[in-house]
Amino acid sequence: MSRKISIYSIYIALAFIFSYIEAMFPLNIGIPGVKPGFANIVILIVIYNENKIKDAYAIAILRVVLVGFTFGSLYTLAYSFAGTLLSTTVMFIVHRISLFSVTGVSIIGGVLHNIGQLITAIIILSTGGLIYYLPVLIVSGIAAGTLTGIITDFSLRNIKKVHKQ
Amino acid sequence: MLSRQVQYIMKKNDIILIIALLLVSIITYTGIRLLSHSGKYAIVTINNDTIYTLPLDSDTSIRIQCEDNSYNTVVIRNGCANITEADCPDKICVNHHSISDTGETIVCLPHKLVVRISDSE
Repeated sequence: MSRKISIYSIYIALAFIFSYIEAMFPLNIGIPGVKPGFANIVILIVIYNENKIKDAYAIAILRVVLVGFTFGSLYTLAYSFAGTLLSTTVMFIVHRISLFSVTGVSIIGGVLHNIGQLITAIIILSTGGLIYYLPVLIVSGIAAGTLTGIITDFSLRNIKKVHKQ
Repeated sequence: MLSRQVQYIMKKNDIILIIALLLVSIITYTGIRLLSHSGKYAIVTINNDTIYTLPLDSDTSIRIQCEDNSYNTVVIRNGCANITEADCPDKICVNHHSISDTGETIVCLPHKLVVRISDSE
């Protein structure tokens, strides 16, 4: 039980720090939702290491809530909440059916996170025309997912090495 | 100590996934481009209520202010609509490029403000 508490704390702290750093250096290319999404590295590590959907949801939701209250408004919380929920759920399912590598799962997670946010924005703002952002969000989701996926892959290999010692 | 197991960072399925996703985005993009053309009006809505319908052929600059002192400055110039100033925390709306084709939007999420190009009022 205490192992759980301490490892949860590490995961949440890491996820929050990644989001914090991203918020400090925003890539201002004028399109909402385009970001590297390094916090996803932590979610992926939780999915692969702990292998329980409850843990993944817990870390993901706690991160969204913490970041939402620290950096954003209630609405930004809603957008990232929807994105994270969709992304984490599908990432876990895809991980279980073992169809893709870590990078593939990460790409799926990144793209779905963006799509989740886009759909929420479309609903809240009742502007179907926002679908016009879909191509950019897919491409940036692929790029971000690839980067974070590779980082996660190497991280997981090293975590396994440490466990073996 | 030799490791006999070679781990790749990507599998075949991942490449298929990327290609499929890229196809979806290319098809969506082409569809949207084909269906859109230069618009006539910039419709400004806050919280889904239309507050301005601005014809794109007359240059104007409007500072839109809400009760809680949040503002966005919408500018129409050369047939394009743009947000030039805002006091929202992320300034995504300000950095957005100017829009002129139907269906294009500039959104200020924190202020729930949407500038949308349309053919009609």
